[in-house]
Formats: sequence, structure tokens, C-alpha cells
Amino acid sequence: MDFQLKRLWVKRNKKDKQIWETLLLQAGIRAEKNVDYTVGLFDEEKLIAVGSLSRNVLKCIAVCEKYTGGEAISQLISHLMSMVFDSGETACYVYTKPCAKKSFIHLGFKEIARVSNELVFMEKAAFGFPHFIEKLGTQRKDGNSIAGIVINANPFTRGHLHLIETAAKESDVVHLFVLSEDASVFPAKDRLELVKEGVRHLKNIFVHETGNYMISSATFPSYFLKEESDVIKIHAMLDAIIFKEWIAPALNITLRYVGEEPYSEVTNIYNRTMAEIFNNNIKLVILPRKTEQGEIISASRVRYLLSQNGLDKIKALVPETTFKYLQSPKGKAIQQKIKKE
Amino acid sequence: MKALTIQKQAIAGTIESSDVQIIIDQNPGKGIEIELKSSLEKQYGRRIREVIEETLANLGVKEAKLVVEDRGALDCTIKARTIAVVHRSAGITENYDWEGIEAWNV
Amino acid sequence: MERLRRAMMFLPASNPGMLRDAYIYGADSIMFDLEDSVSLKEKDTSRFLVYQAVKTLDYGDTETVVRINSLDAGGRDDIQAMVRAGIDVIRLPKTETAQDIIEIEEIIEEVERQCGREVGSTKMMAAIESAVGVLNAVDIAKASDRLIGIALGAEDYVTNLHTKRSPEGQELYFARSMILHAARAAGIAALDTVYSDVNNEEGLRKEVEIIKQLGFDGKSVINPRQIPIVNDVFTPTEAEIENAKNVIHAIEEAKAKGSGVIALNGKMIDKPIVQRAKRVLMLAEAANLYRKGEV
Repeated sequence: MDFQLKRLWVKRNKKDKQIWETLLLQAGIRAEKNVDYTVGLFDEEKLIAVGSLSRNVLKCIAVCEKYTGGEAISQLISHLMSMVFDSGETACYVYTKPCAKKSFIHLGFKEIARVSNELVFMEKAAFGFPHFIEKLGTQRKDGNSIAGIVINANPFTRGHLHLIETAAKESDVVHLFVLSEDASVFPAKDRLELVKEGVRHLKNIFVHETGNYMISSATFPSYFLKEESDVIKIHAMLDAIIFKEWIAPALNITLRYVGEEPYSEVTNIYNRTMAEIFNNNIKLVILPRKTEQGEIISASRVRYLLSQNGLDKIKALVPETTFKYLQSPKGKAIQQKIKKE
Repeated sequence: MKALTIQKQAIAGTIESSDVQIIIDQNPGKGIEIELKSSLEKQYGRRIREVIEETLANLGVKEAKLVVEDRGALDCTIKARTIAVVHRSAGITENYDWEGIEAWNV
Repeated sequence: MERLRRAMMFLPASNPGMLRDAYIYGADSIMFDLEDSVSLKEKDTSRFLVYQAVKTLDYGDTETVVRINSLDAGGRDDIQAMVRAGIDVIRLPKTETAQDIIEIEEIIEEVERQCGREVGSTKMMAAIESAVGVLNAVDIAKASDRLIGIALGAEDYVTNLHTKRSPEGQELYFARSMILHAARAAGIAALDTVYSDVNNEEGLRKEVEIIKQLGFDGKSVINPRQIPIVNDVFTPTEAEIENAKNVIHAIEEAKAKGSGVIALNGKMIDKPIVQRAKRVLMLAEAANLYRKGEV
């Protein structure tokens, strides 16, 4: 007989939250805050499996031991997949422990990348990662030195521009990736547009989207990792592996430009990890950050100034196109949002 | 019946036993492409493809990419899921052309 | 001759495995549910599943019933699909007036004409699930020649009454009696509501005994495990079977003699007694306690 699916209101209902956390704990994973939808599978009154979604990513999947290997997981994942695809997403992802890989393959997922014994990144799609890479390959440009840069541009600053201009000067071709994920205060579409406008004067820059294959640290799921594990490092490794194994070969990229980050430990770990993974197959070029009146230009500084109504101080930190955007009604609305946070 | 066109990605069915899950999307210039996974692929793979291809042809679909996850579905289930996913993809949610479907579905 | 409808098994139409296995559990009727047990976003896929299953699979002697959605929630497509597929019975949920039946009947007839099925071949059933419906039961039961039975849907009904279901079921006596009377007045079957506690076999047995005693023809079930219990309660006793056989003997004897009057043990046998005897033998046959022609 079918088990019953019931929504668990883990953010609104204390009892739901409690039974959810209990089941997750039994399965050896932690509850994650970053979920928009959670569902429970019941065998009559008994909660036997749970699963959550954060947009197109399956999270916190756990099945009661007695019910593993049965129909429970199929029913649960079928439901979550339908939720994802019915919401207009074209792919469904999961980050999981390597030991769970086999079950997810059985459920129709395919591996995208793996970080040793820590994590497997998988997807289910009509046109998935191989198609993304194939399409990327059609954008290949000839040149002796081909560089890659990945930015979030939240928003696009003169710091980013400096990094890009330097790479453009030192290389024949620069492939510039802008994170497609909508997890930042500036919408993905606008971030991409501002970057495109901001680099229009550079003829050897080609702008791409990262699709769903790179996500920000804010949404990177870590609930299944051991508590003591280094989440930042594992996330950095995954990004670096995807870049090295797939993205760079598709475009013949041999150089990766990044900005130095003297104050942020996170970025430091990120840069160090990248160097380790690239292992000189791809040369990592770390540029000192551009400063303005002794202060490093960064997107976070721009956001801070926005929150303090310091639009006049921002003028020197961002390209003209970004500044215009910030003054527009759209920009004003984002400023209000930042102030509230 | 009037031919249906794949307009957007759609999904129908589940990965529960006796069912089949089909994801469909546009496939410009590449005809019908079926990526099939089935626990019974060796015995029934060809038959499953046949049922899907036949149903697509009857619905007038000439180009589509399908990802199919079979769990031992009967022919009638495969047919039903294919009809459903094509209609979803074509954006048809009510007032189906039953007469048209009935004309080839015997 | 009318057929037995002791257990009518409910199945969510969204599950292909259940559609395939439905007939093996020995229910007299199986009811594919397109309505409440199917989530809103699976109405379309479920409709195609049942459509294709009914067209293709062999359900043998089992009566196939489908519970459709209301007309504003996809009911029209449900009827189109099911009539064309050749379903035996279309069951209307939440029937409140005779007009509800007439409206659906018009669409069924239209589709029968479109697809070349004999007009009237698709039967109907009405579920009554509210106070208004119960009070209109007589009109509903007589609303169409297609109707083969009316059923009580207690879950919505008790909510409508501002009460809950109890193990004893006092809250349902009026509705049950009303529906039974309406069914008998119209000469159609009376079917009882589901018993939802699938683990309580004793409770189910008691409830089936009650509704059988009231005069109901059968009960809806939601789990295959409930079918044998329902069938068992409806199985006639040995004495009942013997008596029924004797009634048939008496009829045959009278027929052979060309006598218009049939008597058994000095009592006149009239039509209701003949009907009851025939029904007892059908029930006995279904329980493998009797074979047609056996003496």
C-alpha cells in the first residue's frame, strides 16, 4: 500500500520541526535551515522518511532504517522531483555522501563531480551537465593564452573590472563566468547585465553563465558532512574540480585569475584549495586587490555603503553603468532591501 | 489528431515500482532521442522504446528528448505516461482531444 | 439479473501498480478514484492511467467504477476518457440534487453518441455526502435509469453535520436509513461508506454486520485486507442456503406443473421471496458454497 505524503511545516510548527529533526538525527544528518519545502512520508501515523527542497536542490533526505531499500524512498523522491520540475526548473540536484551515490543513481541521478570521500554532486535532467559543457565548447576561442574568471558581481565593481582588465591585457582570450544562482541581493539577470555592460570596451572578453553548476557558499548544503569537516574547503574543492575537469577543457582555459583577499579567511581557503586542485595544470594568478583611498574595493563594501546611504562614496568604487543602475528605481529598491537585512 | 508540439520541459510518472517516469524536452533538429534506464532493459528495453516511439508518432511528436526511468511498467502505463507528458509539455491541461486520441488508441 | 456488490474497493487512480493488481483481491467492484485521493497536480496523469488501464487490462467479472471530479474540476474530461475507455460505472461524488445526476447524464450520453457506444450502456452511481443530499436521496435515486446504486460518503457527511464518526455509528443511522429507503424505492443498490481504521478488523466486522442487518447490499473498502471480512459477513448461513434452494425447487415444480401459484411448506411464495432466494444463492455461489444447478 502507498505511504502518505504530508507537508511538514518545519519553520512554523514546533511538533513538525521536532519529528523532522529526530528522524534526521537517526539518519546521521543535521537539519538545514536553508530549505523552502519539507515533506514527510507516513506509514499510517509513523513518520518513516523526510525530504526537503531548496529551489532545485534536494536536501535532508532520510529514510527510517526499517524502510530503506523499499518503496518509501522512491515515493518520496518522485514527489520531490515532480515539485522541482513542476515549478519550471529544468533540472534537479543533490549533494550527498559518496555512500548514497548508488541509491541516487538508482533513482535516476547522474554524477557531475565528486570530492574524494566527502561528497558527490548529482543531477537529474533532460539536458544536464554534459549538454552544458557541450554548449560551452561551442564558445571556444582561439588563442595562445586563455584565461578564466568566475565572479558573483553582487554588484559589479571597479575591483572586478581591474581583475578583468589585467587578465585581458595579459591573455589572448578571457572567459568570464558570472554566477547564475539567484541567492544574492542583486538579481542574477541584473548582475549579468551589469557585467556585460561594464566589459563592453574589452574586445577579448566573453561572458558566460555558470548555470546550476556553481553555487554560492550561502546555499551550499553541508548537513550531511561530518560536523567537524571543513565545509568551506569541500565547497572550494568541488568548484575547483568542476572547473578543472570540465569547464577549462571545454574552452582550453589554462589560466585562472582571482583577487587576493588579505582579510577574508573564506576567500583565502578558497584560493589555496583551488591552487591545490589545479596543481599547476591550470595556472592560478592571484592579483592584489584594487584600492580606493587606501581601502580595498569590494562588492561587500559597496553593499555596506548602500546600507549607510553612502551613494556618493560608491561613485568611485563602481563603473558608470553600475552606478546608474544603483540610482535607478530598481537600485533604490535593492538599497531598501539591504537596509532591512 | 492534430499534432502536438513539445514546448517546454515536462515530467510525468514516478519511480515507484510498476511505474515509469518520463521527462521530455525539445530536441531541435535531432528527432526523437530516448535515454532509457530500466531494471529490465535487456528483456524489455526495445519494447519500452517501441511503445514510447509509437505513442509519440501517434501524437504527432517528431522531435523530443526523453529521459525515461522504468520500474517495470506495463505497456498501458508507458502509453499513459507518454500521452500525459506530451500534453503537459504542449501546455494542454483541459479539453483534451479525446476523439483524436481515441482514433489511434485501440 | 442484478449483480453482487458486497465490497467495492477504492483505489487511488494515480498508482499504476494498484491499477494493475486491483482485481486480484476479490472485490466485486473496484473503484478508481480520480477525486479526493488524487492530488490536484496529478489529475491529468491519473486520468490517462485509468483510461489506458481500463482499455487494456482485463478486469474479468469485476465491475469497474470510476469516481470522477466535479465538472468545474476536470469532470468533463474524466467523463470523456472513461466513457470512451468503456468503464462500467461512473460514480458522482457529493451528489446533492437530482439535477446533479441529470447534468452528468447529459454529458455521458453526448460522449456515448460521439464515440459510438450504445446510449445508456455506461451506468451511474451517486455518492451522497451531505445533509442536503440525504434529504434529497429519493429524488436522487430516481433521477436516472442509469443509476445502479447510491452510496453514503460518511466523512464529508459527518463534517457537514458538525459531528465525527464514532465506533457505534449512531450519527449515521438517519442517513443510512434514508439512503437505504431511497435505494429500495428506486429499485437500486444501497452501498455503505468506508471504514477507515484498516487495522481494526473487529470494528469493521461489527459495522458490516450492522449495515447488512439494515439491508445494505455492500460496503466500500479502502484496503484489500477488508474485502474478505465484508464478503464473509455477507455469506449466507447453511440454513439460509438450504431454504433458498427449496424456494427454487418449488418454483421449478410449479413451472413444470404449469401452476401459477407457488407454495412451500404451506406458505405462498411471492416475488420478494423469490428475489431474496436468488440473491442468497448468488451470495452462496460467490462464497463457493453453492454451484448453480446444485440440489
